[in-house]
Amino acid sequence: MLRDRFDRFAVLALLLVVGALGALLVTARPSAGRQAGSAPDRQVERELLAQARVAFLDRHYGPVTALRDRGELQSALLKLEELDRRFPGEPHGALLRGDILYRMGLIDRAVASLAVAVRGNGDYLDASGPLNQRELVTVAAEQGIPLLRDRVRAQPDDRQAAAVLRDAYYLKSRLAGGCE
Amino acid sequence: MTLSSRLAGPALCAFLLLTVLAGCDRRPPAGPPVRIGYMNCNSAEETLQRFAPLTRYLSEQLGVNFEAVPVDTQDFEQRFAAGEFAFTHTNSLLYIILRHDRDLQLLATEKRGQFGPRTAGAIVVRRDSPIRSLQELKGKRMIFGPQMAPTGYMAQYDLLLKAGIDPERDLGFSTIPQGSFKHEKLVYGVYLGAFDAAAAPVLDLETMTREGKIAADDFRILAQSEIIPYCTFGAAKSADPALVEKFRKALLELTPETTVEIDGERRKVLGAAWVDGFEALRDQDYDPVRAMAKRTNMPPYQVY
Repeated sequence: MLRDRFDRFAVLALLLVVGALGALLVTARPSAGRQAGSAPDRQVERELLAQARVAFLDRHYGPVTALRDRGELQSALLKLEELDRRFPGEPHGALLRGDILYRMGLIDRAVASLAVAVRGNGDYLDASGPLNQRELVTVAAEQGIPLLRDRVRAQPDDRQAAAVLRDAYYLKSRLAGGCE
Repeated sequence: MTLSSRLAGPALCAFLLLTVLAGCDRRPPAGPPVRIGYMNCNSAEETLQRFAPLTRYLSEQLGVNFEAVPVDTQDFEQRFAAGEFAFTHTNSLLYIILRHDRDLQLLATEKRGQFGPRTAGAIVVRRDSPIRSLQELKGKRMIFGPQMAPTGYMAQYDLLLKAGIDPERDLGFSTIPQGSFKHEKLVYGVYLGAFDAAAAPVLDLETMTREGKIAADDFRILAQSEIIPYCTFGAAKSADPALVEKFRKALLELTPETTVEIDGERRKVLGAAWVDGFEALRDQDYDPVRAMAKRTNMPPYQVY
């Protein structure tokens, strides 16, 4: 196998390279600067994502909020129908719908919609976050529970009322800090 | 050969036979038909298509041979009084008329759209219209829905009366579109500039927006009525109470996943009927409809 001096030299060189690589792998560690930078990087990423989301919602759902604030509640609901086609399943649509239905006095419908929103994005209950809607969710759940409880008591086979009552309790539990 | 191995063959055959039979189309129960009168929306054909799966579902659940009967709104009370059908599916105005005149029993209310078992009527103008208030509709051209439509006619008539406008005298011109799809026609009538304002049911505005037929920004809502119950199932006073209760329960138990087999096709019951579900409203929930009918001199309170 090792016929001449060149063969022996080549095998020795190969062993040296393998040994050096092994030593590098054993001794190598991330640099101090890189180690310290990873956590802030993630923090910055999260912050950027949060800001981008707020900007996205402002841009697309701003007209709904403007109509709502002017008292044009039905027009705001129609605008939401339009946005649902573009962004189906977006929790912010459900949140705004819940808000508008609450203003229209349709508490049960509002509770159902707010539950969809909170299930889709828990940030609506983060008191220190930019999307905080704890006050709205609290009043809707507090007003909804006695109303729906009476309805279920009067008509125990009213599945719809029972489902919305469960939604109201779900909101209450999330407000209290419970998980999904 | 052991006993278990001798039984294995017949057991397998029985299992396969049961599996095949379970997959077969369930025939509607035999027996004398019990008729359900469905108020026509656009045409008798469309009504039958919409409600065929629901009627089949009720037949299967209750073990009764239900038959769907499409009924024109104007003929509804007369045909109900003649005993042509025991169960009814009507708008909320027809419900209060039949309740008042014929003791109709309330079963369940249909859910559809943003307000669930309720809806509203609106008066709309084009977004670029110079008309900013109901008072400015005096002398203008307005299009209404059919006369017995609670949120396509009565609610808007009521809104105008409340604003001090007599629709019979103060509008420059008013009309009702011909043929089917009346509610869509009146929305397009305003959109295309043939009329200054339209009496649009909010549910139709919602549906047309969702389907992309109109944009939310195309129209301005001048006024909107209070929210009143939507289409309603009822039962004749003479109907078997046990059957009525089962009928009501079967409606309330429907979910969007409920299907039936019709003509070899499995169809969603609620989806086919354009319904989101059913809710158990109380008769007093219809009091706003009664108040509206009184204010607008509509049946069952019409005074000549």
